Amino acid sequence: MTRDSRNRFIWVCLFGLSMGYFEASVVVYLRGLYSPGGFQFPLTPLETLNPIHVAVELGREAMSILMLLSVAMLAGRRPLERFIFFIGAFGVWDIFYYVFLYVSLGWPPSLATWDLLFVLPVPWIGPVWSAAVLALLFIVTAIVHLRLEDAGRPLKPTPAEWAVAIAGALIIVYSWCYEGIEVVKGAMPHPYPWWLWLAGTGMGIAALVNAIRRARNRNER
Amino acid sequence: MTRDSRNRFIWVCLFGLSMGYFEAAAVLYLRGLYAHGFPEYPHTPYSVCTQLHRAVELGREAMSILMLLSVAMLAGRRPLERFAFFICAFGVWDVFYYAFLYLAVGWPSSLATRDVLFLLPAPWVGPVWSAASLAVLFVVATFIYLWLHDSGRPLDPTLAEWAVAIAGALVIVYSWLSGGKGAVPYAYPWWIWLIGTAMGVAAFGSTIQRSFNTEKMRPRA
Repeated sequence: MTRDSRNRFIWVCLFGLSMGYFEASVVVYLRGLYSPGGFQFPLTPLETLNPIHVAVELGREAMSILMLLSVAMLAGRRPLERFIFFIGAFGVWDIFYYVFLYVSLGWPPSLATWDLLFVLPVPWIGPVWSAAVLALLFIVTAIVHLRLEDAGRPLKPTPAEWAVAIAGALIIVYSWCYEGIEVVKGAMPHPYPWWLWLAGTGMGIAALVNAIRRARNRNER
Repeated sequence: MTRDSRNRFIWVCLFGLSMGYFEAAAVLYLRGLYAHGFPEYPHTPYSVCTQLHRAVELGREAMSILMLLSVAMLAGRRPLERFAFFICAFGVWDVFYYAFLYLAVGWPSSLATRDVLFLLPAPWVGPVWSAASLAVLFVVATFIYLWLHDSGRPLDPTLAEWAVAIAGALVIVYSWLSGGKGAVPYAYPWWIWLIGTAMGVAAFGSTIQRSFNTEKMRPRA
């Protein structure tokens, strides 16, 4: 990896770390307000929450995406590199969010703990491991991309590889969303359909590995 | 201004906007936890907060600086440009923090409202206008820096100009630190703020004047 790429990657990681802390601090205060005895399912019914807090949380989810997008646009020089920095920052943010929350509240007690992962456009719920493992994969993907690019063998996913990766991502999102609305209304979540997550993640990894294989087979630039 | 500079300026501003929202959300929830006895004041007297929340807030102040620093390092190509983007992101963050808080809870009720601006190493207390007007100056200064640089007249502050600007900044910080000692009724030493700000503006004005007096360089590609 060149010095320039390494520096940008390090600063993106430091940004993700600080964003993870910001997110964790907001959640510490929210739990102080609504779950002082500890966060668990079933969730506090939506109608009992302060409507301003609900609106602010919905806005904050959107602002998280804008924040990651702005950093990715500043860090990357090309569209694919910007996407890579976006998921890299996303991954570091997500992991440090759980780390800082564990340090301050001792939560999550295990990787199997259920969490409300995202709320737009519908609530996403799943065990912590399902988000944390993907976050790690995002970081690894970013490192692989930067290494290959600086070695003169940039990743150039084909439309088919993009299609498989996006389909895999949609399957994972479905595994989180399919009963999110009922759970937010107070229902207990059913066992997590880990096989859907595995299928979606497998598709993403297959598309990435195929793109890496093609990049390695190309003559060095 | 070149397209590249304009784009980076816009993304840094969008980042500052999203960071302002995050800050406003954290303060809104803290206010929900502690502000019942202090409705005129978004930050509760420090001693009232739990030890955990005090530690989290101190950490968040430090993480704010790391977050701004990482964005500035990613946005800037040269040391002075990184400094310019740092103060720009800081300025947009600060202005939108107040804007979002006003939208959510109608606070601050006026620009003269007292606020706790920062916590490290001791609370910085001042009226909203004293922070907001500096924030606007930071954004304007960055815009002028980029515009002059891309017009072939890069700013190159002398050591004396840096010294005057830093001394001015310290004078302003003193005006805020002296307001944190809890005097009632609170009288902000605005004349100290004015002296510090004038020193900063004078140093910046002098740098701009010198850049116009030197031979114009080839505009940036």
